[in-house]
Amino acid sequence: MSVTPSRSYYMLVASLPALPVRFDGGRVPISRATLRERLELLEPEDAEVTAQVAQYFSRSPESLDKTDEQVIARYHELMRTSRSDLVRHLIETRTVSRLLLSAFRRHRAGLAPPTWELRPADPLAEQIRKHWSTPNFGLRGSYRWLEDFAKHYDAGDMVGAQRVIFEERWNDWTKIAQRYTFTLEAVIAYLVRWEIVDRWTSQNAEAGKARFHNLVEETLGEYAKPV
Amino acid sequence: MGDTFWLMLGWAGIYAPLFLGALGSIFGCSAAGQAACGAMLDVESGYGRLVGLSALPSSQTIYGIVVMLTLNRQVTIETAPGLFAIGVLSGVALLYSAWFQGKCCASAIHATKNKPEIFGLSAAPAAIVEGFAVFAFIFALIVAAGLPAGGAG
Repeated sequence: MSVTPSRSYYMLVASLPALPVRFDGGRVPISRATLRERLELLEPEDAEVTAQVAQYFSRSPESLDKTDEQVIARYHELMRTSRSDLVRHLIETRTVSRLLLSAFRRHRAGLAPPTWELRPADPLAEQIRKHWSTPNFGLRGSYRWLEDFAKHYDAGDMVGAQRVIFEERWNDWTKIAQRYTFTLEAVIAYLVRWEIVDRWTSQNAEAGKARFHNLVEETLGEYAKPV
Repeated sequence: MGDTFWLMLGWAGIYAPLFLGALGSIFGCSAAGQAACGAMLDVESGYGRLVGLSALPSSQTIYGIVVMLTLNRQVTIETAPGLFAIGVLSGVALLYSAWFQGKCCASAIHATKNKPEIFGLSAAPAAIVEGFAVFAFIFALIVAAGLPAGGAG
């Protein structure tokens, strides 16, 4: 489909199907290919901003097993190149969440506190080091999801722990999405929420596939092996 | 700056309701029309009512034409200030009502695309904005009746 780029966002926003009320409420309402096609309606400068979001997701700190230092280096690189406040908010919150989870895992593994600092005199890093032995680093007020995450993590329920993180992000971006209607910010908020639904559903699909294979193997034993 | 300036303002006042009303309709219909086109990419039926909703802000141009015809008379130094004031102020009201009605229509189209059953209700904000345009229109006509006739139009 050939489309003419336009600064107006009415057509693009109206062409995007509604996302489910909850991130775990169903499948993604629009495929990645169709979404990419719709985004061709954007002007080149706006397309650059959405490309940054897409790029961030494609090489998200959580998606790769990077060290904290690598995550922080990438954070600074992205913050330097991002002009949109919403994209910066996305990078900031995701990086903080990633570092917090990394600190949490270190704590549970009985390791020493992390040495990273996101910025000079970083209050979060300071708080974590100072309250290393306090449950959830005394961050319950600022990061309420951490307590729920810890409960699931300690119980070995990784899907539940992942759900807590996704839920927190979903609620944050749903609030942001409510502030905008036919603007670039509305498009960014849509993309971020779409990505959450996509990740959750694909994760479930993967888990479902694994469960199915286990079930087949349990039932058929050696006959389950491919011929 | 003498009589010519005031006469020019008088003429501007006569044409202003149509000019500003049409400008508002352009903005409003454009916004709602684009939303309708976007929505049509995502729905399989009900295209007609989406396009119909996007045409709602065109009524302000019609109101502008009527006010312009009512104001149309010989422009003199006595009639010019009144023509300017009524024409421009009613025109500004028509412009904004059409423009923002277009935004209401775009939102209604977006909402009704996902929930067709709320079509009527979602158009209510646009209808309310239309009501304000009607006020501006009616009272422009009433106030214009008090202007000096200024001879044949």
